[in-house]
Parts: sequence; C-alpha cells; structure tokens
Amino acid sequence: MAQEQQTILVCDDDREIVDAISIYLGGEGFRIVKAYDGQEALDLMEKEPVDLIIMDVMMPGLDGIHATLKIRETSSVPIIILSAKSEDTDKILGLNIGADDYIAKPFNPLELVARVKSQLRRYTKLGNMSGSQSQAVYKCGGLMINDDNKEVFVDGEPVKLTPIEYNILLLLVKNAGKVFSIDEIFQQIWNEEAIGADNTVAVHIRHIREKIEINPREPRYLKVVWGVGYKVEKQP
Amino acid sequence: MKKTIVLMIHVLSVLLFAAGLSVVYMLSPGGFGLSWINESDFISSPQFAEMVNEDIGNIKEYAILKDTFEENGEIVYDKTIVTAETSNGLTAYTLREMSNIAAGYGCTMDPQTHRISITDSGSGEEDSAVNYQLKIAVKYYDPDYYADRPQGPGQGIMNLKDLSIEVMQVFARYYVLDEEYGHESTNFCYSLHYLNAQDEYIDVYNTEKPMDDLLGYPRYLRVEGSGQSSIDTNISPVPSNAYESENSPAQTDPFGREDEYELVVGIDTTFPYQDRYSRAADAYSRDIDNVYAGIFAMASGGILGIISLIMLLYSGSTEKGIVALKPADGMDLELYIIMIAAAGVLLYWIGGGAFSAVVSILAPSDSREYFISLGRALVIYGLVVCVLRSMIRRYNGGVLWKNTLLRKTCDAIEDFSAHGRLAAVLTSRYFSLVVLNVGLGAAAMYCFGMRFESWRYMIFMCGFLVLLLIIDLVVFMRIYRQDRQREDIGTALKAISEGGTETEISEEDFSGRELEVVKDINNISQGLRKALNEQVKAERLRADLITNVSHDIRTPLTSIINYVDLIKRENIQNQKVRDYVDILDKKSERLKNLTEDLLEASKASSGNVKLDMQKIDLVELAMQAGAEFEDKFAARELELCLDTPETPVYILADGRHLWRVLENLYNNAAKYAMEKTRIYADVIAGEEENIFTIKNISREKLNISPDELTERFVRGDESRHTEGSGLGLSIAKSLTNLMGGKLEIVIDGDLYKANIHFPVYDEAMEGAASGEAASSDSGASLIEIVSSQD
Repeated sequence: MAQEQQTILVCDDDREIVDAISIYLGGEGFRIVKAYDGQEALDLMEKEPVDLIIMDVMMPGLDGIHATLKIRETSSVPIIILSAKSEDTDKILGLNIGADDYIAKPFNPLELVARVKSQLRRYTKLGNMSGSQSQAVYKCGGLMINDDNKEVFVDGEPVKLTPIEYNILLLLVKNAGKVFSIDEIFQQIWNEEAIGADNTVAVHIRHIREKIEINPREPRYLKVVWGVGYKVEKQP
Repeated sequence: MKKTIVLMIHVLSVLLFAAGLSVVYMLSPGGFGLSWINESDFISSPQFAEMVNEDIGNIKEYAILKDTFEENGEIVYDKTIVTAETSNGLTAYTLREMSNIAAGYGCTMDPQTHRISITDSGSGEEDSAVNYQLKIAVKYYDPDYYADRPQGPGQGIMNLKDLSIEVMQVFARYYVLDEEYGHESTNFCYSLHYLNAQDEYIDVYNTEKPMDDLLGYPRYLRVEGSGQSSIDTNISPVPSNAYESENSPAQTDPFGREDEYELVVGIDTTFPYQDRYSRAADAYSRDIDNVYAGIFAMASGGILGIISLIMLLYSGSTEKGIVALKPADGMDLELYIIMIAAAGVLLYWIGGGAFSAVVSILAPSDSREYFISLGRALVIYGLVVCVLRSMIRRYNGGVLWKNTLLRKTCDAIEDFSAHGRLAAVLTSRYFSLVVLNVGLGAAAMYCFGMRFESWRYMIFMCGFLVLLLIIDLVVFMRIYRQDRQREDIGTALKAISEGGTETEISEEDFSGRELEVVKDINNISQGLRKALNEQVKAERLRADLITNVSHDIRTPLTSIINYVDLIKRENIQNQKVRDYVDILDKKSERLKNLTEDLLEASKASSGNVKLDMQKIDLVELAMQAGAEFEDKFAARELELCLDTPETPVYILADGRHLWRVLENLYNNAAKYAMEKTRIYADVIAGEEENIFTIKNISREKLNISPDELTERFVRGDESRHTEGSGLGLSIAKSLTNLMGGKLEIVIDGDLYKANIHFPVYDEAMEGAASGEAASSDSGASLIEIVSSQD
C-alpha cells in the first residue's frame, strides 16, 4: 500500500457479486473499476491503466473467454477468471487462453483476495527479485528458494518451513517436473530405507502445501499425483 | 449313483431268474410240468416211469432183432434178413451176404462201441451195385415194413449199398441192445413171451427168476395180451410203450396174437447193481435239490427283479424331486420306440451269430434252442425296460403326450383347421399343382406309351412335358422368391432385435403379403429409432439440466455466501442476529457442497467423466489420503491404522478419481465414526484382485442396508444433521465402477466396512486403456471448445 493505489477491473454481469468483490478488495486498499460485460471491460481498459482483471466467463454480449482473448492481443495484465463452471475442462480452457488464475464460484473471499495479491506481487515484484540472483536460487513460477540462506519465497513473500519441509521442497523444486514417490523422498531426505506404512512424508508434504499454497486442495506448485507420488510443476 | 446300484441289482436279479429258469428247465422231464417235484423218491417220479417206458420200447426192439438174427440164442449168419425183388425174381439176402457187401463199401463195425463207420465210399466197379435198384419185399428186422403198403414215391426202392449199410446199422443196434438187455445183473428185470410171425414161441428175458417173482418187486409191470385192460402195474404214469392207447397206436404189440403175449417187468428198487437206474436215482435227489434251488432262484430273482424294476422305473424319473429328463426323452416316443427296436434288430444281426456260436459251444445240443430263445427274451426284455423307463420319465415330466408324433399330427391338424382359410387356399393350391403334375405326366405317358410311333403324338407329348416343366418352374420361382423374402425379413428382424435400430428394408424387392410385413417392420424400426433417440435426448437433457441448474444456482449462491460473510464482518452486537447469520453461513456452505456433489454424482452416474487411466500404487495412495485426513481425524480423536504390504500394489485407475473415492470414504469415516476409536485402512494384494478396505465403528446405529447407502441422497441415518450431501458413497461407487473396479459396503452391527476391489495391474491393461484415453485427451480438443463458443 506504500506505492500508488493499484487498480483492479472487476467484470461480472451480476452486479451484487461485483459489489461484493469491490467491498473485499476495496477493504484491502485497491481501487476498483466495475464492468458488467466483456465489451464494457474492453472499453474501460482503453480509458485507464488497470493492474489486474477479474473476469466472469458467462456474460451477455462479449463473454469472458473472448474478452480475455481480445485483451491478450494487447496486454499482459494479470487476469483471474471467475466462473460458475468448476470442471477441469473449463479451468484448463481458461488458463490456456491466457488467464493467469481461475477461481470457481462460489468463492471464498479470503482466497480471492490472496490470489489477487499473489498475482499482483508476481506481476510487479518478480522482476526486482531476479536481480539478487545467486547460484543457489531455484525458481518455479512464483515459488523461489534461496538455498544459500535457506529461504523460501512465494510470490515474493517469505515462507517459514521446518528443516525437513525445506529439504523436501528443495528436492522437489530442484527436480521440478519429476514425480517422487513417498519411498523415494524418504530415502533422499532421511538417507534410510523406508520401513512399512509410514505417512510421515505425506504429512510433511501436506504441511508444506498448507504453507506455500493459497488453497492447499488445489495446489499451484506442490502437486499430488494420486497413487504415484508428489511433484513440483515445472513453471517459468 | 443310487440309480446305478439299482440297475445293477435289477440286471443281477433278472440273470438270477434266467439261471433258475434254465436249471428248472434242464432238469425237468418234458410234458409233466413241475408236479414231479412233489414226489419224494425217484421210483415214483415221472423220470423213473420214462426210463421204464424207454426200456420197454427197447425190449420190444431187442426181441424183434433177437428173433431176426438169432436161432436158439446164437447169431446165425445165414438167416434171411431181407428179401427183394430183382430182375432175377425174389432174392433173399442173408446177414452174411449183407455184411460182405457192406464191408465191400468200406463199412466196418467197432467191436467195442458197435458203431458203424464207412471208411471207403467205393468207386469204379461198385458203381453198378450202387446203382442197382432193388425193390425191397420184406425186412425181417422191421415188422412195420410192408412192401405192398404204399409209402410214397421211391419208398421201398433202395440200392444194394444203402440196404447193406442199413442192415449193418440194425445189426449194430442189436449188439447194443444185447449188451444192455441180454444179461442178468441189472436192476431192471424183464421177461417177454410171445408168438412170432413164424408161429414160434419166443421168450426174451434177462433173469432166470419166474415171472411171479418179478411181480413181487417194488415196481413192476405186467401186460397180458396187448390191450389196456390187461395191464397191471404200480408205475405211474403208466409207460406208453407197454400198452396200446389212443395216443400211441404205433406202440401196439407187433407180434400178432394177444393171447400169447405177456410182458413182465420188475425193478429192484433197492438197486443192488450199479447201472442206469441206480445212477438216475442218485442224480434224482441231486436234481431235486437243484430244481428247488432253481425255483428259489427264480422266485427271489423274480421278486427282486420286480422290486428293482419298479425302483428303476421311478428312480429314473425324478432326482431330488426334480424331473430329470434325458436327451432321448425329447425325441418323439414313436421314433424312440422305432430306434430301440432298430437297435434290437441291429444287435440281432451283429450279435446273434456270435451268441449262437457261444451257446453251441457251452450248452448241450438239446437245449441250444432254449438258450437262444432265452437270450432273445433277455435282450427284448432289456429294450422294453428302456422304453418303459423313458415313458415313465416322460409321464413324470409331463411330456409323455407332448413328445409324440401322434400329438404333433393332431396339432398340425388343429393348426390347419384353426387357420381354415389359409389352409384351404394352400391345400387347394398344392393339390391343383399335384393334380396338374400327375395329370399332365399321365397324359404324356399315355401319348408316349401308346402312340410313340407317331411323331405328331411325340410333339404333343413334348409340348405337355415342356408345359409341365414351365408350370413347375414358375411355382418353384414363386416359392423361392417367397422364401428369400422371408429370409430377408428374418435377417432384418434379427438385426432389429439385436439393437440395430437403423435397420431399414428396401420395399422394392417385396410383393404381396411380404410387402405388408416389410412395411410393418419398417414402421416398428422407425418407432424404435424415434423412441431411442428421444430417450437419448431426454438423458442428455437431464444431464444438461442438472449441469445448468447447478451453474445457475452458483451465481446467486455466490452472492449469498459473500454477503453473509460481509454481514459477519460487521461488528454486530445483537447476539440473536449473530446466531442467525451463523445458521445462514452454515446452510449456504451446505448448499454449496450439495450443488457440487449433485453435479458430480450426475456426471459419475451417467459416465460423463473423462478417465486418465494410469498405473497406480494403492499403498502410496492410501498413505497420501491418510496424510490429507490426519487433521480431520485428530479433531475427533480418531486413530488411523494403516496396514499395507511393503511392496507397491499396482492397479490401473485414474488417480484423481480414485482419490475422490478414497476422499469420500475417509470423509465418511471422519464424519460418522465414533469418537476416540480406530479407523483401519488396509491394502491387500491378491492373486486377481487388489483390495483397499476401510473399517470403522459407527457412532450411530446403522439400521440401513448397504445398498441404500450407495443410493443417491441416502445417508446412514436420516436423523444426522452433519454437513454433506449423502451423495458421497453414490459418487464413490459410480466412479469406482467407471474405472473398472467394484465398491462394496458391508455393515455388521456397528462395524462399517467399505471395500474397493480392482483387478491386479498388468501391462496389457494399460495398452487398452491408453488407446481410449488418447482419443479424449484434453489439449487437442481445446481449440474446438473455443471455436464452439463463438
């Protein structure tokens, strides 16, 4: 809030939802611009600079998907899609056409705020972070680990992890994209053979997820590959 | 098993009966029935009387031969034996001459057995003698022979060779009889006194005892004259050879004068000598025992046979109360009987010869006939039992009448009369065709047969035949066409019945009634197609409806949740309002869950779910799931006991969906398990199936069936007001089924148990599954979705 007030464009055909979002985000100190369909959002974009867009999908006139496609022709401003459709295909579609995040209705206000902040941080701050890059820095999207001073940042915010949690996360981030089974993680971190059914590792990983993810049930970084293991998605 | 034993018993008892019958038959004298076995001793038995009778006959023969060959007790070779008319007039032949002639033909007599054998059949010079026909005038050894009595053509005419051999045979017979009756020391004593043809008194006897002594024997016979009136005997039945009766006129006294004839026979029944009588007496008691044994065998075999037959007939019909029909019982009864009879005939042809051969080796010659008919009777009996068994089975099965040609004929007639019009039309058509054929054929035959020399008639006949052929060809074509059309209809109907609603028969190829049928079928097919399409549409509509409704509910729900949250953020002093808001908060949250679950359940149950099947380790999954629920379990002081094999347990499944299944199961455990209890989760690696199991003790009474639990909108207990939609298990079950697994719920008292079964993973499964997955992969289809949004 130290900087100049950031502007968020909220676009939904349901006025009450727009108002509610405005109240939540306004409470966090953002300036809100309201639009009630895709075309209106595009018009507003031309008039004033916007730092982030929250876009509903199903709207009369120009819908959210096409509006996003139009916006992406000219701008790389973060877009969070807010939709009543919760299926995987809808999410994938939204992310594939250039949206940065996807929130299903009905949403948790706190999660919405967290995600908005996360996107803004990544968009505005990440550039600065890369300046202090040293050898032992691992990055994965908004997740960054500085192994020199054992620090973990999510979207630029430091996160506190226990040594074991830190080691597990480091292992996964170093080998981003690779799936580790519980046994493999156990062997790597404890340097011992895994004995029997012990879900210590799984519990640790859940704790890590709770710390680094906005919604641990839908993790962005540390993903559960059910029945196979865990991995950190390779991200730029 | 039991049936086999009964069958064995039956066969054995029938054989026993047959054996008993054979014994009785073999040991019984013919013509007396079985009354003789009442006689306790041999001398009263018919066998004894028969022996005496035989002996009396032999004595008479012996007397004649003695008279023929002997004079004063010595054999006289120069006595005339035969006189015959030859070209030289009446010629007398003496025994010597005859024996010389016979010897000339190689005829010799064995001195021991007195058997005649002819070693050299003679040839060359003897031919003349062989061919030399004699008209025999008198045979002294055969008082019944009269040359004048017409005895049929060729009778009385013999050649010298045959005559000499006949004489030698008679001479040999004399020796045999002489050996038997010419000596004393037999149990059979006789004395015969008569006047012969030459008016000489002849006495033949084998004992010096006076006739009165003979009459003192325990068994005796005395005949005076040759009439029945003068017989005196205590032998029963009275020997027929001894006197003249209506039945045996030939056994009369051949010797002429009644007043000079006397025959006395006495049998010493103490049997002081070893001879036929003593042996027969010994054998008799043995035989009587054997006959009793035989009768017993017959009786027991018969009774056992009847009992086992009845058992056999009924045991074949039902097995544990269920009528057990054999394949043969499905055959028409008439055909079955014909088949059995044919089998019998076949057996007779194939086995008959062999059986007779065996019988002729084993059985005495006089009872061969008996054994062969016995064998035949047994075979026929067996076949009849077969038929009877089948008939009883049929009767019990209620098909005795049904499976007969007769019934089928009746049905056909009934069917025929029920469809009178059709039958009449068909019959008239068929008969006109037959009449036409026969008529034209006959006409052609007539022309050809009568007037074939005329070419005009030939042409006429050929015309007839060609016409006939054409008519028949037309009829054939019609029948063929109808049949082919019917086959097409059949094929189409089959296709429709197997679900081929697209089936449509082209109406062009059909005509008449078939065309109507085809039109009807096409209508039915269209109707089906329409109904199916409508059903599919309705299904899709319902799924769409649920999806749309849940989307539509979400938007207002979002506002409700958000504004309830906003109200909560206001610093409200009024406790009541705060409580109300709390209720709103909870219920809106519940509504949100319900909407999500409803959508998911709808998709899972309609199979509208994309599967990404991969090799999954159940152990890993169980541990991951356990970790996710650690806090939830801890909140209610539940302890999770996870028991898994050391090694991975692989199955083929979609990890995310399987996690949803496990999540629902763990969630249920977290929600409904009794506080401070343990929850057991096991992974079990099996031979064919790998199983994940979760068990917990329910907090509430589980008075509900496992099936109801997995039904939509049903929860373990109606009265529970915890969060959740009641769709969890339904979703879990649908998803598990979609992935090729099986979810079963077991309730045992308060123990609640959920098992997930999956087939053991193998490489081949993945190949099959990945093919499916590839076609519905997400990335490629995204562009289509985007473009379809325009």
